[in-house]
Amino acid sequence: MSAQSKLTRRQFAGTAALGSLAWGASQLSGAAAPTRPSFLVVITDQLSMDAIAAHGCPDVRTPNIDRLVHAGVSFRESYSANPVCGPARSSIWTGRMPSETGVNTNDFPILSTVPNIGQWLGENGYETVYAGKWHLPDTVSKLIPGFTVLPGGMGGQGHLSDAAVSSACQGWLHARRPGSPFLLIASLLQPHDICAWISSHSRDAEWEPMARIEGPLPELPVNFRYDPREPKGAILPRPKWSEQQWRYFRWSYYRHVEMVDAEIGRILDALEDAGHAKNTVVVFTADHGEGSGHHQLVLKNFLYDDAAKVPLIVSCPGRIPSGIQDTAHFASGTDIAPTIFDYAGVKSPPNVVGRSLRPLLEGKRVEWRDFVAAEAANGGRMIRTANYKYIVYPNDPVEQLFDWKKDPGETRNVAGESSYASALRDHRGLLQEWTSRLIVAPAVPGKKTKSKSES
Amino acid sequence: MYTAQLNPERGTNRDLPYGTLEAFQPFLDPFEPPQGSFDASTWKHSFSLYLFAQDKLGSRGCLDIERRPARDGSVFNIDSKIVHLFGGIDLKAEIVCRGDELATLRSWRADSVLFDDDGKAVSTTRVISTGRVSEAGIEWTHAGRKRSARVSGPVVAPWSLLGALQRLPAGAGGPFKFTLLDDLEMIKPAQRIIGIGPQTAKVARGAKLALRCWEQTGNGILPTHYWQDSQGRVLFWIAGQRAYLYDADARQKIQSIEAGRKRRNK
Repeated sequence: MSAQSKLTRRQFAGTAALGSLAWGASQLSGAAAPTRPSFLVVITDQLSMDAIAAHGCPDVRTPNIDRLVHAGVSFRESYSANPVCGPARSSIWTGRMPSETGVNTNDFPILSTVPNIGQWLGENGYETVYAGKWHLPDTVSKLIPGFTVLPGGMGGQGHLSDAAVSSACQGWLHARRPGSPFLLIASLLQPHDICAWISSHSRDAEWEPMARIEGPLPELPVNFRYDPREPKGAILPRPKWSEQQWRYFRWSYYRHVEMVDAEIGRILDALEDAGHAKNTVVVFTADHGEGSGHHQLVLKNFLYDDAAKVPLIVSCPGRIPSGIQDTAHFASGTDIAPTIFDYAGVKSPPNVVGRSLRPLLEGKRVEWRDFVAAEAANGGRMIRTANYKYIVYPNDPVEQLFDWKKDPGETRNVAGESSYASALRDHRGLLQEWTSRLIVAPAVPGKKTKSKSES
Repeated sequence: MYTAQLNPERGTNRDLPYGTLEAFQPFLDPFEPPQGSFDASTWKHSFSLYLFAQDKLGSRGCLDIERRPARDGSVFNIDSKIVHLFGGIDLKAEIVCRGDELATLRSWRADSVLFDDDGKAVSTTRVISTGRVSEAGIEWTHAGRKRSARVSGPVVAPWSLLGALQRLPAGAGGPFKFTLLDDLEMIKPAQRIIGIGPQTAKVARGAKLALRCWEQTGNGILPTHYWQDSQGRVLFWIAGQRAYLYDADARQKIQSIEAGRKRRNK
């Protein structure tokens, strides 16, 4: 279990202020050492853990994500902090839970008292560059605190804007001369365009190509059926499609995944060709997954694994062993920033809840967390332990408990069964304890800010 | 049929049509198709780029493609500008193709750069590359560094594919199979294009336009549809959310949009 201090709301105000003052004086262990690595973070949007060929998906071709899987460590028990774009990203860039960053749902900025990874590394000698989707609050922004922003990008249009993001990163990597280490974030939008695909397929005509697809369509997922004993508070988007339409939807989702895989290849090639790869830690992840027909769901913002679980792959030749798929340790989007700080030799900002994955990446024996938690934009909470997954939504009496050993597909809610009463009680307790440790951001009515360009 | 609006993200809960001629109709209502004959060996076409989801009828870019015959094949000159929310990307390329029916790639030189909100090129994002396709595969050179990849079968660029479609005889229907080299950078294998028959579109002043349609599927793309007029000209093509429409004024339109943005930034 990670050691986390319990802080009151009053203490939060104090530490937040201290954090903001301390940015310039944050501690750097091994300061300016020439071997400090650079970082390339590639983040995709709406990519499921199981939509990757090297993770066992037979229906998709992802040679470039596979390169990362083969070159590093892939955490197969990795969860988004909150399976919606903005909240998840706020956690990735700060190491804090969305309820702490002030980004409980889309279109909110990170609290000004919570430093992001660009601000923190920038204060510690790193050149920090951002390309692509931001969404905190604007989908794309010319000004991102702590970063030099490369131009390009449009809200919700990965099909067109991802090429600009990868091209910008490609050019930047080739143009960059050796010097201070860098943090480059390539924030790609695909396979998020599947959202528009779903909306557009309300028209019959859109399904026409389905009949002409060569070869078999992907099978339905094994957990296509679901237990109807679900919380009503969850957003559970269930199209009424035929089996064939579901399979065509899955086929289409994988084509979106292949689009982003190609862009990733362009960036990885540039990293290698420009001579940066040997001293760059590459982190690959997604903000959230996609229902993709599991539980007959599409999209995200629910806490089944299909949306909540995300790829998290870390690689660096000579520093991180290759070809490891870690199924033993729970990871979270909140772990990404502390991991980068650790490799950079920079102490994490105050109150970060994520943990550095570095000991796990380097194969060291370390006491690790025995559960991982996630939030949902509609107030839901999730606790995943080795044996169970517990989900609850606010103001809803229906809880969900899944017996992970018998039912990893989350198809049978055992919360009401007497033989699971003890497990249910334990997981309620874990959630309560975990929640009590969070330094929840104060609610700011009317704080939502959205640019005209997005409205 | 499913009709509910699903996206939980605020501001995007609306119908986002794309992908077929039916959805493209609002763009065709004012469309004035080019008249007269067309020489499929030497031509220059301009297209406006539209995004179905966000822009409704506003242009997001322009694409000029020029073809001329060359020894044993053809040369294509590409000039593309795509405008994003802030800045955008310019790409110019010269592509040398073989004289086969798919105009498969022989070699190319490409120069792309992103520009900022004021239209100024950001030099750190410039990518100049050359490449060639041989029996050994694809070879690129970026900033003096070489990279190669093995591929099997014909390799085709998206822009020269248009030229190939325009030169196919009227009765041809495929299927043609190839590897797509998207943006002259990204390998997308297992592409297949087939003719899916005649269609009729309603264009400006309610005129009926006879069209012939091709459908491309494969790795890393959504089904892409190309529509040709009776002369063989590709008038528009749609892939996912993006559509290109034949438009002699395409560059002028996008320059006007850029000028407006610069004025707003002052």
